[in-house]
Amino acid sequence: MRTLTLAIYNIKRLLRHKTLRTILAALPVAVALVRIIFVNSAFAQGAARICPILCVGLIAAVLYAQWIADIASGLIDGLRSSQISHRTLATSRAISGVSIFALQMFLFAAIIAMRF
Amino acid sequence: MRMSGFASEIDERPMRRYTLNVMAVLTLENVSRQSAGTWALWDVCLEIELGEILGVLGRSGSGKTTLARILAGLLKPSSGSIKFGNPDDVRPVAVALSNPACAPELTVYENLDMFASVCGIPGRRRTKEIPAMLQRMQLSDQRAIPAGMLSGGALARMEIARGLMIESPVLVIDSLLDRLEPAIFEAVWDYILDLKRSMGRSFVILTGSGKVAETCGRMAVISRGRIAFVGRSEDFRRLAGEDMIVLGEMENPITRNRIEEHLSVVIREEDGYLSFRVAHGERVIGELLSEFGNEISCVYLKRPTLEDALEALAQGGGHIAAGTGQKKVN
Repeated sequence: MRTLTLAIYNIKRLLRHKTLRTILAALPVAVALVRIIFVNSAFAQGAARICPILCVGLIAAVLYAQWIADIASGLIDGLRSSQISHRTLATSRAISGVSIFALQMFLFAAIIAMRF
Repeated sequence: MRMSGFASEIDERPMRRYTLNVMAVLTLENVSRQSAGTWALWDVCLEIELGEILGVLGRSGSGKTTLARILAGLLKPSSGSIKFGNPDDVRPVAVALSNPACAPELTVYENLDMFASVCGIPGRRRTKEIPAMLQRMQLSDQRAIPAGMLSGGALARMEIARGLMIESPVLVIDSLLDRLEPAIFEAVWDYILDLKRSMGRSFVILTGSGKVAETCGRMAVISRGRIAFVGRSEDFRRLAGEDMIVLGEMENPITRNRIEEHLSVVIREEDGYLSFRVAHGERVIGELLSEFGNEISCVYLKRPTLEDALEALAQGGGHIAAGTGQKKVN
């Protein structure tokens, strides 16, 4: 339960950044649009194929940067001093990452599906 | 004082009163911590009793934060042990850290809600307690502001609120009370006293301010990683010397000799003022005024502060063998 609570708050935190929110949404949207517009392009097909990997990479980079910032700000220490283990913290971050990835893939699939 | 407005909320809360057969809720035995080749803490022995407020006074870099981080479980001592009065407590110590723990993107309310929910406080209680706590900390107006936009003082208040909301027999507050304005400090202090009385909670107040340390029941002094003193603030203050009584103008020069004879003191002239030193200045002033009140234009009592004593301690090498109730003198 604590893990889920932390994951929900972490998603909230990530999505509160306007720029970050835009980048996270823009990547799958842009790739999907390119795929729709240039149907026969090998580049567009390749980009669509590696889009999930790019999304995972982006989310991993964001979560890593957030973790570093949280260590510097003292948030991790505060949570650890509230008897929350490193494992719980890491799991909650992973859940938030997977949730955002799922949203990105939903967006990507929805746009791709529009051509039909 | 300000607490009267919250009395009903406190009464309604399902209170957990901490009781123990053994009086010590927290015992540090010969705790040392080495980091980067130097000893940040050395052989620290402290005992915190049930319902006690212990002030730990120390200058910057004396080892206060290391002590707080060890108590929070963020650092492991290199040697020594920490014993809790009741080993069954899930959260034996709550710590409000000097570097406030907050998610800058979340609002003040959301930050407190996040910490309260991960600490197992049920939703219904959270919706009742968080607004009350925000009001107590004078943060109600800022509840919807992202924590990253708060001032240093407001962040300190939020961190104290976080620590106070966590249910644990001992709360350690690291250097946060020093940053509060006097009016807010009084309100927070009243609440701390209330928690002490009603729930039997114990507090360890780590501070660099003599005024804060003085407010605590018992105080310890940490210097260069060692506990140099444990006892009453009055006893520690004496390290800085006796009280000084400064005398105003005297119409009759013989009065000076009469005062010297009557009080068995030596009056000196320093910076153009006549003064002498005595142990209990407040008592002597009464006697002085009753005997020589008509002959002296004014009398001023200058008492050494705890900061003066801390300075004297630093100049003396950091070690003393004074105080009452000290378990071990390093």
